[in-house]
Amino acid sequence: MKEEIYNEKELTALEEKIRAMGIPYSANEPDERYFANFRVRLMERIEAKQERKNILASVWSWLSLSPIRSLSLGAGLAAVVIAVLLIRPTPQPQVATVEQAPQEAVPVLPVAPQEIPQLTAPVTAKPVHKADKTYAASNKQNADKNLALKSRLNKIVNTAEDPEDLAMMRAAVSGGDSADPIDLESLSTPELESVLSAVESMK
Amino acid sequence: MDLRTEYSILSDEELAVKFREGERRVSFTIIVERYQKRIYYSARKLVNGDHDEADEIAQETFVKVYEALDSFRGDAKLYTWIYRIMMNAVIYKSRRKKVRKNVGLDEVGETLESEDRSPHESMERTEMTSMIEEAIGTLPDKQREVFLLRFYDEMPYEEISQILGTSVGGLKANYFHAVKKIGDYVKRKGDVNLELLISRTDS
Repeated sequence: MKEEIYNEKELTALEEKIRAMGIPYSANEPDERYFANFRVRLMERIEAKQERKNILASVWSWLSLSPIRSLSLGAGLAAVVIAVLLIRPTPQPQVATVEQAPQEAVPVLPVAPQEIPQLTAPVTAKPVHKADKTYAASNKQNADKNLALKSRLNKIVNTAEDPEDLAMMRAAVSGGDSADPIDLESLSTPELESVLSAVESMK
Repeated sequence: MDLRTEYSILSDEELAVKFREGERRVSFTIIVERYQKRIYYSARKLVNGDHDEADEIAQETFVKVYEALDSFRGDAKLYTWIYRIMMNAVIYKSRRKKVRKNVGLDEVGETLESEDRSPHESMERTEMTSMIEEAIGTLPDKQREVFLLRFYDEMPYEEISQILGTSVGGLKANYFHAVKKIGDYVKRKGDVNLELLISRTDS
């Protein structure tokens, strides 16, 4: 067994050697006054702790005597918590200021205006005139009107029952020349209006 | 015969009974008087000689003894029981220190020691005892505890076993290793010191 390997004599010799070297941590040992004071401090400490415990115990017993007291204390505490939560100012949104790194100045070499090559012609934005806008608007209006006139004209021609009337109407629409009929698309609004009135009179 | 004198001849177990029966102050004061020095010196050895630390641990130990003496049933000796409380206080303190300073128990002791001791005080310490202190400081925690309890407090292995919760066989092995390590350290250090002395004399 390992224990048996221990040499009792060797151990005793070592112990004696160590003991002869003195007691460690014995420098500046406190005297009897320290130990007398130790007891006094200890009793004061214990009494202070007991006092705190007694206060807590008496508060607890006072509360536990009546359920109304504990309830009112709980309600009071809850009210305080709610008040604190409500009164507490809402934190302002804070915007972190980002410090921009100072931009390094780009060295500019002095160049004479003649040395700068003209690569492209300067592009200038074309100003939009008010007249152009009104022109576009009236164009759109005319197109709509023409479309309405043409559909009305086609409706009258298609609904004509009498074949004679139909032939006359077609002649009016084609401009009287069956070989080279007029394209309705090419007619202006007043022209379309006159054709329409002619066809209507034939009904 | 006053109460104090009457109680001073009572055994530890009898004092504990008197404490439970209500004679708290007198019985406790006698217990403190009996063991304060042993507890203080044992604590001091465990914290590498720091007086303030040892004082705080001893105070804290007796406060806990006062609070728990009602529950003491006499399964172990009263001193063994108090010692165990003191050991727990030392372990708790050293853990807190480790967390705070993030250094080991030995380093804490050495740091505090070197901070607290003036050069004059250091001069007063004998070379021998400081060497023993250094040697004890190199021991692992368990071996150091066993060594201090056995060597300086002359506590029986059975009682140490109750305090540290280790088998008697294990304690004997720890003690033997501790004594051997201290012997080796002292021998090594002594040889180095002798060599230094010879080299200084030669120069």
